[in-house]
Amino acid sequence: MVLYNFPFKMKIAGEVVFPTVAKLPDWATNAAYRNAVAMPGKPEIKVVGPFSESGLGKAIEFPDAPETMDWDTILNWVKDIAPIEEEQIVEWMQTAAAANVICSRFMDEYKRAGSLVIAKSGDPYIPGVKAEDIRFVSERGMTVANRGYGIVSTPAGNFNVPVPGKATGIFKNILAWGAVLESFIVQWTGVLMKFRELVTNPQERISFPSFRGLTAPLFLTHASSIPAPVNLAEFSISTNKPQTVVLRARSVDDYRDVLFEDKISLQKGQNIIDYPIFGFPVVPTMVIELQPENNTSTILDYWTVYP
Amino acid sequence: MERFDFSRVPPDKLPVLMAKFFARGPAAMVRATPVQDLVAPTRQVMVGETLLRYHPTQLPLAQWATENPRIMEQGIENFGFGEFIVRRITETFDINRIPIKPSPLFPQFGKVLATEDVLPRIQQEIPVDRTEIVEWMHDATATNVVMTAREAEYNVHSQFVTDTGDGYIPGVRVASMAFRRLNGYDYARRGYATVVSPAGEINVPRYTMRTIIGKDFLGWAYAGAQYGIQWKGVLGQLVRLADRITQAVGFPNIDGRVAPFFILQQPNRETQRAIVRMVVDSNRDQRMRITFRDPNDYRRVIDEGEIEVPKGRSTIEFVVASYPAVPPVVNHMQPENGTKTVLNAFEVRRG
Repeated sequence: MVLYNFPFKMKIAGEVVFPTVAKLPDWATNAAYRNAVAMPGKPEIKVVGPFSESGLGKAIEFPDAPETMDWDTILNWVKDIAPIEEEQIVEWMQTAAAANVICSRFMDEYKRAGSLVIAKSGDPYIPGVKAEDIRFVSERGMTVANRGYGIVSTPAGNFNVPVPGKATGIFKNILAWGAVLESFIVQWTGVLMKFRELVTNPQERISFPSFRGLTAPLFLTHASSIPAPVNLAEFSISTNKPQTVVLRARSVDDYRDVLFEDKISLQKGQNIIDYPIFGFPVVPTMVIELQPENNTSTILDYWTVYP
Repeated sequence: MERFDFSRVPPDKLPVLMAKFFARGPAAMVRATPVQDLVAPTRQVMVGETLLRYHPTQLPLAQWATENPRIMEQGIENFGFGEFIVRRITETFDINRIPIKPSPLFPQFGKVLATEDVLPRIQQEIPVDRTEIVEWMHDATATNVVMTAREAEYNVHSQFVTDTGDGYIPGVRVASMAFRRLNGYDYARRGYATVVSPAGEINVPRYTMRTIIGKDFLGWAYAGAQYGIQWKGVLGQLVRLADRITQAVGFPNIDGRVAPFFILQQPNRETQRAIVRMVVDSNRDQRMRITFRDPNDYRRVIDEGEIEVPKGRSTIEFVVASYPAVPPVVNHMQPENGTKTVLNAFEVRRG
C-alpha cells in the first residue's frame, strides 16, 4: 500500500471520476505540514551539452516510425505508408496517426518513469476521441470551426480547446490537456491527454509532446525525502532552440491552487538548473507543471530533489 | 549541496512566506485526506523485439485473504463449487427495462448492446462521402457506441478501458497493449492481426474475439472487417477488477462476438462456505461458460463449469467451498456468441 492524495476512483455529484493521483511521502500526512506554502529562489542555469533526442520512448503500435520528435518528418512518413489515394484513407487519419505516434511514445516514457498518462488522437465527430473518462464532445467539424472551439468533457467539468489550438484542463483532482489540430467540414482532428498517476522526481528522459507545433505541458510530483524548509530541485531540460519555460507549482490537495509561478529562460542544448525552493513551515509535496513554448522540441532529462 | 542549509529559510524570505501562509483563504485550508491504495507498479516484458511496459490487472483483495497465505495457497487448491441453481424471474427480454447505460460519447443512440443494432442508423445519419467519411468509420463508431457504454457500466464498480479504431492508421491501443500496425490487404491475406500484450504476441484471427490472459494481466482483442487498407480492431483491458456488481453491466456484442467478463469473486468475510448469487438477462437460451482462475496467476484454471441460462431474467446461485477458507478467485464468464447478455447483480455472501 502507498499513500496517494486522492483515491483511485471517486464519485462527484453521482459521476464516477478516476482522478489524477500523486504519490505522497509518509511525512506528508503530518497535519502541521498540510497547509505549507512555497516560493522559488533564483535559479542557476548552465548549458552542459548539445540537444539530443536519444533515449526516448517507443510507440508499440508503430515500431518502424522515424525516431524523431519532428512533426513534419512523422507526418510525411504516415503520408508515405497511408496515401490519400487509398479509398479508405482521408486526411484527418494521417494527422491523427502522426499524433498517435507521439502520444504512444509519450505514454511509454511516462510509464518508464513509473507512472501513467493516457493520450490519444482521432476524429472527435466519429469514431470519437476519449482518454479514459475524458472525451471530446462529438460535433461536426464545421460546428466547432464556426464556434472557434471544441469542448472536452470531463467528470469534473468541461474545458474549451481553440480551433486550431491547445488548452490545459486543470480541475481540483484532474489534470488533462487537449489540442485541435485541424478542422474540415465534417471531420476534425483532436488530441487528448489525461494524467492518471503523476510521476515523482523522474530520473529518465520524458519528452514534451508537440503536435503540429502545439507543445503540451508535463506534470510531475516534487517530493523531498524528509520535511525541510529548503529544497533544491536539480533538473535538466534539453531544448532545440532558446526558449522560456513556464513553471507552476500546484497544491496536491487541489490542482487549481497555484503555490507559485516562475519563468525559466533556457539556451539551446542541455540546460541543468539548480532551483532552490523555500517553504513555510516546510516545502510541501507539490505538483510541478512545466510548459515549454510552442514550436520547440523539449525534453525533461531528470528532476532530482534534495534533501 | 554544501552551500544550502536545508533546515533554515534565509531571513529575507521568511516574512514573505509567512505572509503567504497566513493569507491563504479558507478554500486552500480544506485539504484532501491522503488515502492508502494499491500500488500499480509499471512492469516490463520483452514481446518479440519490443520492450512493453504495462500495468498489471489489479485485484482489490480483502485484508482477511492477504493476511493469511494459507487461504491464497491451500484455499485455492481445495476450492470447489456446487450445482448451478437457476430460477427464472421473467421470460421477457426488453432492453428498455434493463438499466444499462447509453454511450457517454454518443448518448443520442440510446441503449445499445450489439453493434448490429446501431450500425444502420449511423450509416444513414452520417453517409459516406469519400472525402471525409469512409466505411470503416461507421463500423468503428458503432463499436464505440457499444464499448464506451460497457466501459461506463463496469467503471461504476471498478475500471475497464477500451479502444476501437483502424488497426493500420490511426492505430488501436490501450494503456498496456496495442494492435501492431498492419495493412488491411495483408490482414485479409494472412487472416489475422497481432496484438502486442503483456501475455506476449497474440494472433487474433479475422472476426474472432480473443481473450488475452497473462500471469498478471486480463484483457481481450477483436479483429473485425477489412475495408481496403483499413480494418477494425477493438481492445479491452481490465485495469482493476470489480468485486461485486450492483448496477447492470452489459457484455459487449461486436459483430455478434461477445466479449468475456471478469470479476473478483470473494466473500466479504473469512468463511469455508459461501453462496454466489448473480442476476442475468439474456435475449435467448444460452450456455454461459464460467472459469475460476487463480488470483496468483490468472493463466491457471482452478475449475470450470457451464450454466444453462434461459431467455429473460434469471437468478443463478451456487455454493463455493474450500479449506481453510473460500479464497478470492477470478470469475471469468463467457456467454455464447450472438447473444445479448447483461449481468445485473453479482454478490458473494457467507453461506
